[in-house]
Amino acid sequence: MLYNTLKFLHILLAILAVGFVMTFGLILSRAEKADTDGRELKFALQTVGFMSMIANICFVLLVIVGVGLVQLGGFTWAPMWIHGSAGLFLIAFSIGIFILGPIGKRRLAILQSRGPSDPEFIKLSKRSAMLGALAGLITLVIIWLMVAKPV
Amino acid sequence: MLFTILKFLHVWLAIIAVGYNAAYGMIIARARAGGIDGREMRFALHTVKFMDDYVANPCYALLLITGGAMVYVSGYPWTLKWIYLSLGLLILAFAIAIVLYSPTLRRQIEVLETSGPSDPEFLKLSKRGGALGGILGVIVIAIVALMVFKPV
Repeated sequence: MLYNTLKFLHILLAILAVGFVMTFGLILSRAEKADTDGRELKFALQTVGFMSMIANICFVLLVIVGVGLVQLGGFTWAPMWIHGSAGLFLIAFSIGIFILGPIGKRRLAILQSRGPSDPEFIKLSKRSAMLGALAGLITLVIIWLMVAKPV
Repeated sequence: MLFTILKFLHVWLAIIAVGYNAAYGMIIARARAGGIDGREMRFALHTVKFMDDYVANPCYALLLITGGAMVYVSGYPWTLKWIYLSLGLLILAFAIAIVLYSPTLRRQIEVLETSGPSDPEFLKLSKRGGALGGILGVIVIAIVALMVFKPV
């Protein structure tokens, strides 16, 4: 019962965290196509920043619950689907916290001071989209590992 | 192998559909703090409508298809409580989304464009949209619980 409760929490946290992150690209790309004064883009960047804070909290809880599941389920860390997904998660989480987070803050600062057509803003937007796609790809692999459970 | 691929797709679609749904409330709530001309709200509602029409709802339809295919491939009987209840709840959620939530959102956009964000009808529609979103959230949590606990 405790194992299933933790599994239920694990899945809900994954849905919230990953689901939120999956919306960022769409919200920002729509905002980029809105009016040229960047007001929608500012709103979108602030909203994405707030949502990523919630997603990051969910990601941390996801790790804690995941470790709890390994312990309670009597699993070892040896199977590829466990250590592989943990390793990939750390990479994706690091990209989010140490690269995408600061880029988002920098983009917002540039947008407010120099506007959405600033070359640095455009460069950072491209970098952010590329890294977001990379993190999304890593997430897909993690989900595959969780579902297929290769040993 | 086919079952594993279907399960992977099913989980992926569920994450996108439910994650998108969960984001609506947050996007709209933050837009309420926007300018009094309602530009942020207009952007938020149009974005949510796009997310709902072109991502979340198609994902729910594909969830039904992959879920049905998984039952067929695995040989599970439809008489298992967790299967028929989750299917029923998913159909109910899909119906609420299509028949109630989407028209509410559409009307909200129309009222916002014509009368602005402080119009009483807009405020009433916002409350209805929030309540429907809450109901959908509860249904989705119940479906996830059925999938995990698998009561027979």
